[in-house]
Amino acid sequence: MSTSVQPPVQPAQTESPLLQIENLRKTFTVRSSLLGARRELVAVDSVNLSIPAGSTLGLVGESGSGKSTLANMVSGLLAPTQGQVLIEGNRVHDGRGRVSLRGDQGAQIVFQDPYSSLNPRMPVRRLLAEPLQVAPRVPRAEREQRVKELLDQVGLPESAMDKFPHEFSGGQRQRIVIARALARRPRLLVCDEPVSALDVSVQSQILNLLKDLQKELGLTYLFIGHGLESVGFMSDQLAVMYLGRIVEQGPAHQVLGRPVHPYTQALITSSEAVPFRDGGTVELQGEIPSPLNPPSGCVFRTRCPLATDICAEKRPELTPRESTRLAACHHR
Amino acid sequence: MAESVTLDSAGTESAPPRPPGSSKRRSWKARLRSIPLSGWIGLVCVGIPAVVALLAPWITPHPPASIDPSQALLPPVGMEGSDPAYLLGTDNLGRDILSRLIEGARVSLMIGVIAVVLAGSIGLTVGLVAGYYGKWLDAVLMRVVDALLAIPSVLLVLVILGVLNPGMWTLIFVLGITNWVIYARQIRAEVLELRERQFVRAAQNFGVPGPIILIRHIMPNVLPSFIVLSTLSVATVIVTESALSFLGLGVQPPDISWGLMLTTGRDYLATAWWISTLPGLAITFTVLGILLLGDWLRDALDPRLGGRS
Amino acid sequence: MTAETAAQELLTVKDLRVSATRRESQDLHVVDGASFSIAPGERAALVGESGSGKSVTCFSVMGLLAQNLRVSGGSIRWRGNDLATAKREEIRRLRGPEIAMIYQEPLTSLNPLMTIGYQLKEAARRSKVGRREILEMLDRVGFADPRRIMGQRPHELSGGMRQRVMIAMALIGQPKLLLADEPTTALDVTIQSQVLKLMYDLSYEMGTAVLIVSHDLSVVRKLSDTIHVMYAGQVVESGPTDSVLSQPRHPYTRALLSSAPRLGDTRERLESIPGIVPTPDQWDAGCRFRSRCPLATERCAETPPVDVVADRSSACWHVDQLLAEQKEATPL
Repeated sequence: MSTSVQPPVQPAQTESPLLQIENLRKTFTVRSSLLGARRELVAVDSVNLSIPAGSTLGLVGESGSGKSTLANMVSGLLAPTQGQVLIEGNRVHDGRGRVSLRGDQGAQIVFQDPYSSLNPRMPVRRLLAEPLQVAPRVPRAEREQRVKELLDQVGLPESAMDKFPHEFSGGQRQRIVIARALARRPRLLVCDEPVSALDVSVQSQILNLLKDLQKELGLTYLFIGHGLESVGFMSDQLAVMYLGRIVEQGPAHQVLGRPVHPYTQALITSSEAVPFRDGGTVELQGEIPSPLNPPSGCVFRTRCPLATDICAEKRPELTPRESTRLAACHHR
Repeated sequence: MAESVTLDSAGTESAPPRPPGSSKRRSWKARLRSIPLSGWIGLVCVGIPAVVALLAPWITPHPPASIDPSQALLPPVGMEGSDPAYLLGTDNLGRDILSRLIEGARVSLMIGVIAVVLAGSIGLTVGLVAGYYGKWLDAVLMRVVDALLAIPSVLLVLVILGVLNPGMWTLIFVLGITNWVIYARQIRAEVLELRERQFVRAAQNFGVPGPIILIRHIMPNVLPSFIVLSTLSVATVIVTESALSFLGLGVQPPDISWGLMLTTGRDYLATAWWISTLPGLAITFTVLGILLLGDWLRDALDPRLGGRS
Repeated sequence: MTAETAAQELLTVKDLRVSATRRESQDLHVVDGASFSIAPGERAALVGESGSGKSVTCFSVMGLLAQNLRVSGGSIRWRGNDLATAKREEIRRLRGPEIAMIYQEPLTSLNPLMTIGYQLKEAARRSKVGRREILEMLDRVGFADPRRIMGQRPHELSGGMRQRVMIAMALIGQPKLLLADEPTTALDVTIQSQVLKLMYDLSYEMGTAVLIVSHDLSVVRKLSDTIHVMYAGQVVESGPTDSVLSQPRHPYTRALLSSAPRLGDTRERLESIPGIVPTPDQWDAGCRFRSRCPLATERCAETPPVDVVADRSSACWHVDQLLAEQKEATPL
C-alpha cells in the first residue's frame, strides 16, 4: 500500500504538497473539415497549482475553461503537452504519453454523471471489486471484505452488493462511484463536478459524505465545479479558470469575500441572485470566446467591464496579491 | 419536432427509479413465464428445424437421395393420387420430399450457423480493436472494410468459387468472409461511443489493461446489437445459400439443402408446386423464427429490462 | 377563492391528477393534487426535485403528455375553458398564439437541417406574422445582425444563442403565457443570467405571463414573482418568491433552502434531508413529506389542512411550530 512506502515525515513548514502541477499545458489539434487546415486548441495553458495533503483545492470555471481537461491529466487519463503533474513527488506521466504511476499510487476520479460512470451490466459487487483486481492485486479472499467495508463507508447497506446500477437512485449511484474510487485507498481524489447532476437535497448528502470521508481517511481533494456555492463550501483554496488559464487563486474565503479579478466578481454576483424586479442585472455580456480563437492579451477582455487597450496588447500574468493570493489582471 | 422532446422528458419523470430491493433473482419458472408470445413463436420456429436437423439420420422415412422413377411427382397426402408412404409427396426423380426437407434442414442450418459464427467473430474482433485502439490500426482496418464493401459481394463469391471447388465448406468460408464487414462497421461505431463513456474512463483510471476493458466493459455493451446483427445475418445467410445453390454455385448434389430443393422444383412450378413451395416455406418460417428469437434475446440480456420485453 | 377572482386568473390548475397507465398493474398517479394559478403578466415558478411531477404538470397544461400519461382528475382552467377535458385539437389551437413553450435543450428542439429563418417562419405562420416582425423579434432577443442569423443553422450557434432563438420562436405570436421547462439548466452560469434577464424583460414589455419549471432556487429567485413548491406530486407551498424563500411555511421548503450551500458558508456540514422522495406507489392521503420531516407526528398521516394567510398558502399540520423555530433561529 502506498502509505507504507511514504517518504519520512518532514517538518510541517517544508512539507512537499501532495499534488503539484507544474506549468501544465495541453493542446489538441483539430481539423475543421476533412481537408481543412489543422488548428491548435489550447485547452489548458501554464497552470501551476499545489495542494497540501489533507486539504481541498476548488477549481471553478464554465464550459471551455479547461477544468475537465485538467482533471483528466491529474488522474492520468490524458497526457499533458507540456509540464508535469506530481503526486507525492512522483510523476504521473513519463513524458512519452504514458502513465508512470501504479494503479494504487495515482489519483482516483469521481465523475459528474453517476448514470454513465457505472457499467450497466455489472452488479455492485463486481463494480467495486474491479479496481482491486488490477496490479498490485488484492487477494480474492480479502476482496469481499473490502467491498463490504467500502459500502459501509459510503453509507450503503451490504444488500446493495448484488444489485445492478439501474436499481439505485442518482444519489445512491454517486455513492457507489465514490466507493469504487476509494477502493485502492488513494490519497488524492479528483472530483469532477460530482454533484451537478443530482437534486439539491441529494447534493448536500453527497457533499457531507465527501467531507466526512476526507476527515476519516485523510484524503486530499481536487474539487471541480461550475457552481461557486458548492465548490466554495468544500474548498480550503480556490482557483478560478477561464479559457484554459487560472485568473485568480487564493484561500477560498478570501477569494469569495474580496474577489480581485472581474471574472470572479461576476461569478459571485451571478450566484448572489438579486431578483431582476429589484434591479438585479446581468453580470457579464457576451459569450465565452471559442478556445480555438482566443482573444489576444487578456483572455477575459472581450467581456470585461474594465478592459482597456493594454488588455489587448499584453497578457496579464498571475501576480501575488495580499501575500496569500494570486490574480491575473492589469487593472486590479 | 418539439413535441417528441416533450414526450421524452415527461416520460422519464413519470417512471421513477424502482426502489432498491424490488427485484430479486427470479426462479427459472418465473423466467419462462416472462418470455413473450413472440419469443415462444421464435423458439418453436427455430426449435423444430434445429431438433429435426440433429436427428436427421434417424428420422428420415426414406433415404433422402434414393431415386425411384416409378414414384415420381407424387402429390402430398390429401391430394388426388397421393401415396401415404410419401407424406409430402415426391419430386421429379421420385425422392421423398419430407426426407429431403429433414436432411436439407441439417445442411442449411449448419451453413447458416457456422458462417455466421465465422463472420461474427472476425467482425466483432475487428470492430472492437479498431474502435477502441483507434489511430493507425483503425485507419488500416477500416480501409480493408471499405475495400471489401466496395467490391460487389456476388462478384467476390463468384471469384472465390471459381478458384475453390463449390461445396458446403467452400460456401461457409465464402459467406463468412463476405459478411464480417457489416459487423466490423457497426461494432466499431458503437465502441467509439462507449469508449468515451465514463465507466470506461473510470476503468482506465484504475489502470485496468486495455484488452480487459474491451472484454469486460465494452463487449457486454455491444452484445445486444451483435445478437441482433447475428440473427439478421443467419437469416440472410440461409437465403443467400439458397440463392447460390439455386445458381448451382452452392451445395452440390448429392448433398441436399433447402436452396437446392428450390432449384429442383423450378421446372415443375406449374404442375408439381410442392417441390419448391415446401422448402420455400421451411426457409420462411425458420428465418422468421430466428428474427423473433433475436428480438427477445436482446431484451432478455438487458439487465435494465429485467429480462422482460 | 371567490368566483370573481377566479375569472381574472389566466390559468388555474386545481387538484390536478395525472396518471400513468401500466400494463401489468393499477394506474400510477405521477401528479396527485397539484393546485396553483397564474394571473396575466405574472411570472410564476414551479420548483421541485426530480420525481416531484413539476414537468408533468407543465406539460399537461400544454396538452403534451407522453402516450402513457393522461389527466385523470382535477381541472386546468385557461381563461374560463377547462383544458383537462378539452380535445387535443382544441389545445393545439392554443399553442403558439396563446400558450408557448421553451425547453431545456434547445439543440434538440431545433431541426439541425433547417435554417433559423425557416424555423422561425414556420413558428410564425399560425400567428400570421411577417418577415419584418420576425427580424424585429430577433433584434429584441439580442441578435445584433438578425438577417445573418436567419440564414444560419442551429449548430452554428452557441447554446445561449439557440435558447434566444427558441425564445424568439415562442414569443413571436405574442402568447399570453410562456411555459419554460428548465430553460437555463444546460447553460453556463453567466449565460444563464443573460437568458433569464431576457425572459424577464420580454415578459415585462409584452405582458406575457411566465411559468418556469426549475430545480434551481437561484434561477427562480431572480426571475419569478411567485413560487409554487412541489413535492411528491403536490404543491405543498405557494406565495410570493421573496417571502416564501425568506420565511418558508412548509418544512420541505425550509429543508430545501438549508440544504443548499451558500456563498461564504461557514457551516462544517450541510443540513440534508434524510431518506429519499417516496415513489408514487407510496403516496397516501397524509402529508407525503412526513417520512423525512423532523416535525412529523402521528397526526401527519391525516391530510394536512391548507393554511392560507394573505397571499401565501401551505399544507402542513405544524406551521406554528415551524414559525416558532424560525423566530428562535433568527431573532430580529
